[in-house]
Amino acid sequence: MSLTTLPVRQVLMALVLLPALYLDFAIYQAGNVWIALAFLIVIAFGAYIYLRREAYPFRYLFPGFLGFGLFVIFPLVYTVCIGFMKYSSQNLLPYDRALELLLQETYLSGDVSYHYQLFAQDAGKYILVLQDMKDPGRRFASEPIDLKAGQQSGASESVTPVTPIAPGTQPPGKPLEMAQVTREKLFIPMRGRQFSLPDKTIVTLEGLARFAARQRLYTLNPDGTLTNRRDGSIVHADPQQGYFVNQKGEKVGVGFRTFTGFDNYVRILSDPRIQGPFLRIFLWTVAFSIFSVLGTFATGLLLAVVLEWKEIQCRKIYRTLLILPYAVPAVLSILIFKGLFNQEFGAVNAFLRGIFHFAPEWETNPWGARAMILLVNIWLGYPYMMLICTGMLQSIPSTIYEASAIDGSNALVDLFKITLPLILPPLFPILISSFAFNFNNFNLVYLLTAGGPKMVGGGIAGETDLLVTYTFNLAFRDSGTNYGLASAIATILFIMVGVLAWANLRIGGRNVKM
Amino acid sequence: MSDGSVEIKDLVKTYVDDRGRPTFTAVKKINLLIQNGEFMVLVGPSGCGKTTTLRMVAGLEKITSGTISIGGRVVNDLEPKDRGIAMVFQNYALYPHMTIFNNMAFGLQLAKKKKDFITETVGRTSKALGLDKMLERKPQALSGGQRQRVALGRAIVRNPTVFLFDEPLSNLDAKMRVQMRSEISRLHGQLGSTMIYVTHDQVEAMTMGDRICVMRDGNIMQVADPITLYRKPENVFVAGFIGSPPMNLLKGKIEQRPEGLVFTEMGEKAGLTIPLKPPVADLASRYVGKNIIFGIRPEHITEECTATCVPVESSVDIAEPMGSESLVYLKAGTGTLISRIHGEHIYHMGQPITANINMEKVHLFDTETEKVIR
Amino acid sequence: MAFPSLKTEPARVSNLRDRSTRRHRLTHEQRLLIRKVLAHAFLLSFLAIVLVPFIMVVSASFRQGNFAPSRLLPDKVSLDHWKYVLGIPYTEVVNPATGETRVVKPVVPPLLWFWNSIKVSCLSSAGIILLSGTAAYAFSRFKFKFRTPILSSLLILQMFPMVLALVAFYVILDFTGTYVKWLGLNTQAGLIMVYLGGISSYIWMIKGYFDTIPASMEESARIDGASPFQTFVRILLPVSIPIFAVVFILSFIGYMSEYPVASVVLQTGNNWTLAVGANSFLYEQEKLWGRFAALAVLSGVPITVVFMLCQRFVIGGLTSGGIKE
Repeated sequence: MSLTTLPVRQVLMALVLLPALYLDFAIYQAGNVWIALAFLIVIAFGAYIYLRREAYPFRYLFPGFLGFGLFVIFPLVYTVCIGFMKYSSQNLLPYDRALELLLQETYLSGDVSYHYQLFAQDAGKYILVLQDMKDPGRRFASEPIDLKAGQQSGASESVTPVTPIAPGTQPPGKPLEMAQVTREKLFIPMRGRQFSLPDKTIVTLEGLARFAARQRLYTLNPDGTLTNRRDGSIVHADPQQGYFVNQKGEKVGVGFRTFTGFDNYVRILSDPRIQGPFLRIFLWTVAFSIFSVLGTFATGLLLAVVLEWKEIQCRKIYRTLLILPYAVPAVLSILIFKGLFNQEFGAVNAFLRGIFHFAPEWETNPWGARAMILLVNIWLGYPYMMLICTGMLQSIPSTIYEASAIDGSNALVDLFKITLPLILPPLFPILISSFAFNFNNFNLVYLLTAGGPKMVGGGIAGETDLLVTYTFNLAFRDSGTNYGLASAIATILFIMVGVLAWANLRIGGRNVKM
Repeated sequence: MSDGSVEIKDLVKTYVDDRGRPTFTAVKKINLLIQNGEFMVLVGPSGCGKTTTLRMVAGLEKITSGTISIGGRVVNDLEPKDRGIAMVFQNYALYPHMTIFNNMAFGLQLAKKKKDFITETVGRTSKALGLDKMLERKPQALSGGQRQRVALGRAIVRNPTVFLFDEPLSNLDAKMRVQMRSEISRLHGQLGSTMIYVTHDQVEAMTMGDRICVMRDGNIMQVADPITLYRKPENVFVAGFIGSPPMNLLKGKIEQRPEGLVFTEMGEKAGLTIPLKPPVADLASRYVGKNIIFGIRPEHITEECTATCVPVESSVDIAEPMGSESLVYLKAGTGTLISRIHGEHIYHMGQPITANINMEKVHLFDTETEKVIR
Repeated sequence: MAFPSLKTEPARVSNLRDRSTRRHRLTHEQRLLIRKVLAHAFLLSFLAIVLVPFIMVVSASFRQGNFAPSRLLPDKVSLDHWKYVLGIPYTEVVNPATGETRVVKPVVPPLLWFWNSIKVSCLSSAGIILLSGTAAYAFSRFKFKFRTPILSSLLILQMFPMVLALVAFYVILDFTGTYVKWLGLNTQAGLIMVYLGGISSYIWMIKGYFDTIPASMEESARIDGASPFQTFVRILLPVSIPIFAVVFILSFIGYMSEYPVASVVLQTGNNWTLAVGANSFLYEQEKLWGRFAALAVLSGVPITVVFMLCQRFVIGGLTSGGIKE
């Protein structure tokens, strides 16, 4: 047995290992040294686990842990880290990139201008020839370069050197007329490019017809500050603001992301523009979760109890149909309800108007919207509770009810004195998980109301926003993109739900054998 | 057939938790030699370490220290499949998703045996067990007894030198159990292989074993053939465990009285006082004034008196007539004595009766060591 | 069972004896009847609340024009929405005054989204089973250091909402995409990879089932000469098919409904899943209810039917723990 399995395993290992190592090498070559190193460690761990006997149980755990680590633990750690950073649409780039952009800034220097001419080569390549306007003897030519008509070249395009050519000589190829250059929009790709003369002067296209010398605006000093060559001012990076600032305190260039410690948390607690909405949203989130759990549980239990009554005909049909909200994909149900609760044209208001001459404002009134969200969530969630309660009810021996009937009990007494005390303890962990699930019930709120109606003076916060949707909007909606603040809230959220899950595990641990 | 002797030397099993910290010791340095072809029964109350010992022989449980040899070869580090053993489990452990044929053939298939060989072997074995009609069925379709036979067949097919049984009959009803008991005994006669059989049922142990190993709390209390075990228990535990109803055990003292040596029972009320006659009196003379346990089996308390009997006045508490005999619970001294009396009479509660204790059959045990006094 | 008092004899006997109140009280049978009628009325009205939304969606899908679901039967029947969803071109009157028409054909047939969702959900669920099944086996059958703490932390860490990890997902996929094209942003393989992280509740579920399977079966296989891997594949897996069915269905339905991650990872219409596509019909400015309804019916019905058929399995799995997400 072992003789036949051993080579198979080693061959399989080689088949997985070689591409992985190749990939790792590619990552390393691209300059991501740390990621390559981390990946290499993972590969080494994998190899160890699958080749050595003593790590046997981990052969079964490794793939799962890999997925879990990459898509649960890493995002978690990443988010917690961002929570300590100033990181938003204004402070988007890493410091290095922001500095690079600043260093690439140029200004017109000197007054030398050049005529230019393009010589067409094969396969969309062109040679650029420059001629000094004042001194026609100074002529330069580039290597053949790619110019795609109408397409802007990327900013990362490297600088193309040009070399002097003797007066009177012509590069190969057909020279283009100025009109041709404009018609074929060749000036657009040229605009992004920089060409350097032998004396290191950078020349770029200015306007349509001429090239002029440009110089870098900033020079990097040894102490990390930058000197503005035009006005001689000193610019330094301010990690607290995530910006480069000059001596006058004015921001220069683009912002960069930066570690600011507990700033985001302090903002959540003290900045009235955030603290106010945060507190209200937190309270609503808790209330929503509690009422959702109670509502779904009460409805589910009531239906389960009624359906356990053996005297009722067609119990099976009822039960099957009542599970429907659980069987239909929730996204579809939520969107359907979005239509039904439409304030003007929806079925709910048509019905209420017809019977009670009363049409609640489900979309514009905060309380109406909250009521709608709870109603829809109970509709979505009661079948699960009904299923669970049915299972629990059926596990209670019927002799208990027979005994209580002999003792002179009735249905209500049975429910509150026998059924509930019997099913609540085993149900408790399920109720807690349900609470935690609703605490983060993103789909429902995001798809049904998108948090609306807007909270007065709450920025992007909405009256029905849960903490998750609020955080999501803060991070991803066009108006927000404040990743740092969103991540800080996400961390708080995780701690709250995590503690709940831990407590649940402790309580349930007595019933669940690990 | 290869040598199926099993030798267990200084065997210890200590369980550890997830982190490798020891939790409790199930087997405490036991030694046992099982001869080739012997039917050895391990018996004892639950938690005595008998199943753990068997599982270590099978290789399902890691050995903490000591050695196990099968056929003279130390098997401590061998995989179960390489030990030449087969095992029958309490819950049969049949593979529910496989047919009976595949259940029995699984091991042979894994060993990459030829197809013809597998078909032939499984066919022969199933025929011998009366299973040949149901080879294509799944285990759910079988009765308990049939499932047990499949489990047996699966073991036989492996052609092991040692069979291991882990309480194989405890899931069967009483009638089926008796039938399977004799079937396993017959199998032992036919195959002549070594068999190690774990049970908590002392009746099963007595009826099946060539020798019986009684265990308690991870220790071996006595290893002997059934008759020796019954007649000459080494200690109080074996005396109380083997036999049904169990031996009457009275706690008391040996005293020197004018009329000779007597045993006096301890208790708040007046305990029994039993005058001792030879041969017991000779043993007791060394224990004058000391605590002692006095043991007598129910069948040795009779109505008729033999030459070495001592009469005890008592009254009937409960009587359980069984037809050929009656179990009579006698009120005597502080407690009750159980006697097994030939059942010609009907006894009434409170009826006075003179019980005669056969002094030749009395066992005396040291209270401190719990060992028999010889 | 929950109403055993209805069957109580003592109450009835006392009724008959108590002559003075007898006339005012109903007999046992009459009371039973009233209760039954009430119970049926309650159940039927509840059923109406459950079923009416679905009926209205079906009606909206056949109704001409894009109206929010509000009628049990469509006033003007039209198959245009269905044609649109199935990708069949149809002509639409643009200007009723001039009778000017145009041919409408979706750039991406919405049916493709349904197919994408099935694909993504099936592959993710299969992957989930593979990862959580093997991990559950290790947790259930092997002893190793920190087994219990790892098991608990799995459950706690999973509480971190996936929605809020989107920045990290974006970064990871952006990174992988630069080296492995088909695993980057805007790829379904990338989305599946992200989904494979959500295994911990399923590990618990499967482990719970494995724990109920007696170990002696695997020990027997071990004596028969099976390696742990052979035991896992040939003995434990076939026996555990019911729990794998439950996990598959639950995770399938969960991923069918997953919106936020899919909406960020998948950027172009031809890659969208059902959830993203269905929501795309309902812009703030123009809500295309008819088209949405047709798509909802088309994709919701098969999933619902499959779920109902597997109901017994699923209920058994639910009561053993775990919650639909």
